[in-house]
Amino acid sequence: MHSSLEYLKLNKFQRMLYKIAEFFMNLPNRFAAKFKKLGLAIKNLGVNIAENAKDIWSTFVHGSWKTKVSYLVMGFSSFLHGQWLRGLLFLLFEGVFIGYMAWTGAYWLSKLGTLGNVVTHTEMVEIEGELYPQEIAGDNSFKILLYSLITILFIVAFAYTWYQNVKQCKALEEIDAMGKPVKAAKDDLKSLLDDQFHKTLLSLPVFGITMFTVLPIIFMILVAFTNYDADHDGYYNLFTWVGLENFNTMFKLGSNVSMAFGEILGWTLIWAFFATFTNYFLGMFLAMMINKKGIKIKKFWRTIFVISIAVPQFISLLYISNLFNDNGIINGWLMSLGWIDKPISFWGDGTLARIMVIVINIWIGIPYLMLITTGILMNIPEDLYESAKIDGANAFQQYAKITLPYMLFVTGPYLLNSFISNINNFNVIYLLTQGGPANYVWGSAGGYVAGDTTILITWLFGMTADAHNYKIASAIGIMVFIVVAALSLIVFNIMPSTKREEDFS
Amino acid sequence: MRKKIVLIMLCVLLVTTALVGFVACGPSDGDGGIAIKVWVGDGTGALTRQLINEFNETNEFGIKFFPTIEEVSESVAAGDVLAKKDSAPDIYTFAVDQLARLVDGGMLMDPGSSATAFIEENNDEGSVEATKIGGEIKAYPLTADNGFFMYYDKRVVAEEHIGSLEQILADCKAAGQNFSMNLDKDRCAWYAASFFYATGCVSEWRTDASGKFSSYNDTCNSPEGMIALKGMQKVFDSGCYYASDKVGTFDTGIKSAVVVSGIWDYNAAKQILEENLGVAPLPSFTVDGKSYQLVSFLGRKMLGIKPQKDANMSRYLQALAKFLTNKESQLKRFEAVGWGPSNKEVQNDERVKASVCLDVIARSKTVLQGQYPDKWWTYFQAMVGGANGAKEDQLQSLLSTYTNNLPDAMNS
Amino acid sequence: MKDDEILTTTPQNDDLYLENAQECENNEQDITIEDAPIDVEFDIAEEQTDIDIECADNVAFDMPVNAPTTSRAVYMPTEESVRKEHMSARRKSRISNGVIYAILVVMCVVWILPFIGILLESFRCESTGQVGYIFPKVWGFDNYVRLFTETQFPRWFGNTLIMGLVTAVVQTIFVMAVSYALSRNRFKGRKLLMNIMLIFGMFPGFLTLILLYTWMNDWHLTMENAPWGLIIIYVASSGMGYYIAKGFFDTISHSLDEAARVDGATQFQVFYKIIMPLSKPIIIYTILMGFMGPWGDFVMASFMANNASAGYNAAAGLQWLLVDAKINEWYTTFCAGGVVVAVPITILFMCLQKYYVAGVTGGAVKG
Repeated sequence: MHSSLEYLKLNKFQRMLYKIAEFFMNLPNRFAAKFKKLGLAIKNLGVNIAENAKDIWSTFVHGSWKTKVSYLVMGFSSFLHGQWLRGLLFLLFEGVFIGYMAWTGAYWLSKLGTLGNVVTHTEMVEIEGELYPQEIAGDNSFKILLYSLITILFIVAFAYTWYQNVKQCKALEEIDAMGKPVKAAKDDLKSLLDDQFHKTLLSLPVFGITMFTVLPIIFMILVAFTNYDADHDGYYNLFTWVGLENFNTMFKLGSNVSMAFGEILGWTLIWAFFATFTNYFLGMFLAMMINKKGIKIKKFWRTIFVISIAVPQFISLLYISNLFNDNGIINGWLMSLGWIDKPISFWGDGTLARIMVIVINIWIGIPYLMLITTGILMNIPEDLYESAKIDGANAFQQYAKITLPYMLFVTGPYLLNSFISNINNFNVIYLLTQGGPANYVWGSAGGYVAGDTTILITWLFGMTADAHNYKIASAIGIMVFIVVAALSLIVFNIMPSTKREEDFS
Repeated sequence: MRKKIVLIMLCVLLVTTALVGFVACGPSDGDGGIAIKVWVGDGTGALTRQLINEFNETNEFGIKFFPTIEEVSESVAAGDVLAKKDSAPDIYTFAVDQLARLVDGGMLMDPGSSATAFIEENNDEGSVEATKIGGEIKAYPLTADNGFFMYYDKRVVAEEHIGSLEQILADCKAAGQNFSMNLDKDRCAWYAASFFYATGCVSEWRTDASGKFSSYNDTCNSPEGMIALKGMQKVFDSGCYYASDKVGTFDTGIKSAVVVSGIWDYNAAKQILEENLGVAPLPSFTVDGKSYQLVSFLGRKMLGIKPQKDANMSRYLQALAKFLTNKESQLKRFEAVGWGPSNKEVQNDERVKASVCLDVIARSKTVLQGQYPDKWWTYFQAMVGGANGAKEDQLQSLLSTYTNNLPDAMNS
Repeated sequence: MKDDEILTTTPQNDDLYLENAQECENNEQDITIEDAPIDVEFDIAEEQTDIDIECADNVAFDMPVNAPTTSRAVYMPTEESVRKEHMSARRKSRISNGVIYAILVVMCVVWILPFIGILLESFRCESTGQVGYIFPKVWGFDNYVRLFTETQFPRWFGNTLIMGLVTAVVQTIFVMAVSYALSRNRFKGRKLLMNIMLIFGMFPGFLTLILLYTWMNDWHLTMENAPWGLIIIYVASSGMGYYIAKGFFDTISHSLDEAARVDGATQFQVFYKIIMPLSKPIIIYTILMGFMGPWGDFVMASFMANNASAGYNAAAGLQWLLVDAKINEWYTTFCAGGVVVAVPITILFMCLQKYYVAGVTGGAVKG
């Protein structure tokens, strides 16, 4: 690394390189810092829980009989204080919880350890002198895992509510001691629209996110520790816990999976890099061209490009994919023009297919970038250009000295963000090539043949939707997730916008 | 203002279209019969509906089925049945190579004694054998025609050349047209196996009664296997090879003169080439002066019943399955979509005997397609696909890699 | 009419902007009346309206987040500079403008060609498969007739429309709620919540498809009922897409809320009566995105429908026409279906384009 004096000697370009290098050199430190933070958070959580437990115990010991009863019958104390709404809600929640646990929750939890051991089987039943089969349903590992998880979430929610109940009791006792009147139900409701308004706003969306994003993700993480695959789908052939076996398979040097993973990761990064930067620069140039003084019917030009955003991608991409087929229109034209005498196999050759997806992605992506950059370009103060012109700068110098630095400054976070989202850009790859052409040198792993344009996300999709190899896919998914999530957390936290959030508040 | 009008008109238009959709496609009239879900192959949905209606009229129990019929191609049906077992169809058709998987996954109901007798009695021996896992019949034979052969353009390939791969390739090359056979693209293993069986290689897989693979006998990694790969390379290096099994390539820029495909493409091929369409068994190829006749991998379509929780339903569905695969239904299916029957009597029917495709299959050298683990297809495909463009010394490593992967295929 | 309304209701410095714009107009009139030659008059008018549109499209809703304050001032040409600039610019840039026009025309052709292609294919009647030429030999509406009579397309279209409408409404409510709460309230766990939503958004979502299917299937919300299951899935996690709307709320001055609070308004009243009316652009943007989502989704839609054709959305249904066994018979019908789906969506999009631009621009600058 350079000293500060050396840094000052560098020209602009070198400085930029230096900064980029520095960013990557610092990544391990940042990761380490994240983990440290995580560790600290866990420690704090532990301390918190211990303190709270102590608090709960002392409340019980020193509390009145109302409080003591409330430990068993939630909301009891609230009822006696006339807070019938709170009391009712507490009691109702407790009732639902106990009912659920007795009815089904306990059953699921009891099976969680083995993920089921009663196999579905067939019995013969006699009807009018002849035997007919009848299926007797056994355990279903998948559902055991799923509903156990829901039950555990429910238990956590219950524990939290119970803790709130205790805190409530404590607060009521304090109010009693001070002889103040308690809040009525009407006030409770009112506060939900006023100082507790954020709870009203967030409750339903956060519930939805917990059930439909967080829960499925925890589920898939757990799947990585089972042998859930095509041969053990949990319905007829039960699956069970296998510990770290899948990670062993994955990391075993020279195994099919690790080889394919390396290749696909490499291409995913190349793809994300090109997809991001070709779009960025070409989109910016397009915006600059349209913005240029003297170019007329600006609105018309923009509208043309915007159409390709409006038309659903499955239509346009599938059509384009067919255009470049061996028997598609492009080959038909080229041949009728006499330029080629054999169709060019755009999707059949690995390198060509890779170039094609990047080029076609330009077609998809430029209009977005044009829209985004147009507004920002218009914000660049005109007098900067004026003075540059007076100094004799040509168009390229103006671009390099004024436009580009300004754009990079304003859209830097966006660039990083779109790099990350390109890593997960499923549509373009899937609709154009489905990951093909199949690569037989390193591609066949986990019961699925990956191809030259397969990126991580399409690989995972193929491995699950085609090969049903959920165990390995989950293990890979976790790896991808850790890398991408850590990267994006860092990016998010160094983004100027988050830091300056408060400036506008 | 103008925009507002456009928007309002647009909304009206959208809603009208949607309403039309729901009125036109509202629930079809079922009079409270037993609702069942049925998946059949492409193009046979209407016929199946008609057959089930006939069954409703004539069945001995006096019951009525109210079917929801979807056309799901046989190649994906088994995969979707196994992936989402809870919502699997009650009756579905599938390709023979999926049988072991389906049995292992517990998605096929045992036919029981009466249905077993019915199947054995009516179908030809090969078809009956093909439905067995661990010596027991597990599904209902539907067709016996799923082999591949050669469609060719009579203007390009001379009639007297069709027996020899080398001469066919020479004809294609001379005319600047293509020889289309899928030997190295997705799902090529099925076609490529014909080269290996031609030289006498075998890959046989045995399962236990539960459908799990127990042992295998594979002789592909041998001098004969080498010959097979060399034979394939003749095609790859011919300069007129094109990887496709679509007769549509007769028509388009590909300019195929030969397409290796199956019975399902006959009508499309006829439409394109009309009187110039020729149909022939696969040719033979020559390596080191010795000639080998290519073998067609003969597959079948079958009908399976999902295990039922209610023995009465099992009984009704077995009756329906028998009805859908009986003599009359197979004949109707042949007339509607040209599928070759597995029923002995129907096979001897004059109309069936007159079918060009079935005749070609009968004249072809064929081998019954058995059961293979899912991963076997992947590994086999990797081997044959890798042979395209490989040097001679690389061929051996392809064979070795394939053989080394076989235990993994079995234990998966 | 409407545009003006939006301009006036847009927060903060838009009053300033409006004044500027009016000043610009005045300037322009001055020039034209006094001494500008006729062709210049035309040029300036063109330029001026363009900037005007731009401002309305982008700058007005464009949060001044990262842009240094100086840059927000709209460039106001004085009489003198306008004339000079145009005289010199005309000479110098005539050639370069010609080149740019050429590039733009070529690019427009490339961008528009696939759509022309789909349109032409949809009118091709001599064959139904893929062909190596673009202009039909026999024209007609056969494919459209087949689309509406021989496939279940109307049903698929209706499914998608219902999904789009319900998703648009509920998703907008969710997104507004989350982004408002995160922007306006400072509560315990806020940062944590934002980080969690960010992180979980990065997980490869396809891995969880099988779980969502099994779960929805237990409630009979798959296959024929897949549209309803899909609505739940689309909507449930939609709160995670809060960034853009939150960025918008961040730019609305707090003094408005504080004034209302002093007058005794509750939080809810502030949200409903003050902030929401100011947020029309971002609300329309969110509705537009919610409505368009189901039209483009086919992986999840076909997975949840599990071959039940009555439960397909338009994308899954049309994709189904392209499977190997069907493509030769149905390819042109697929194109007709593509046109029927694309046309209304495109018109809708065009009408609401400026809100979309406001959204993506804001999102990009916010990051």
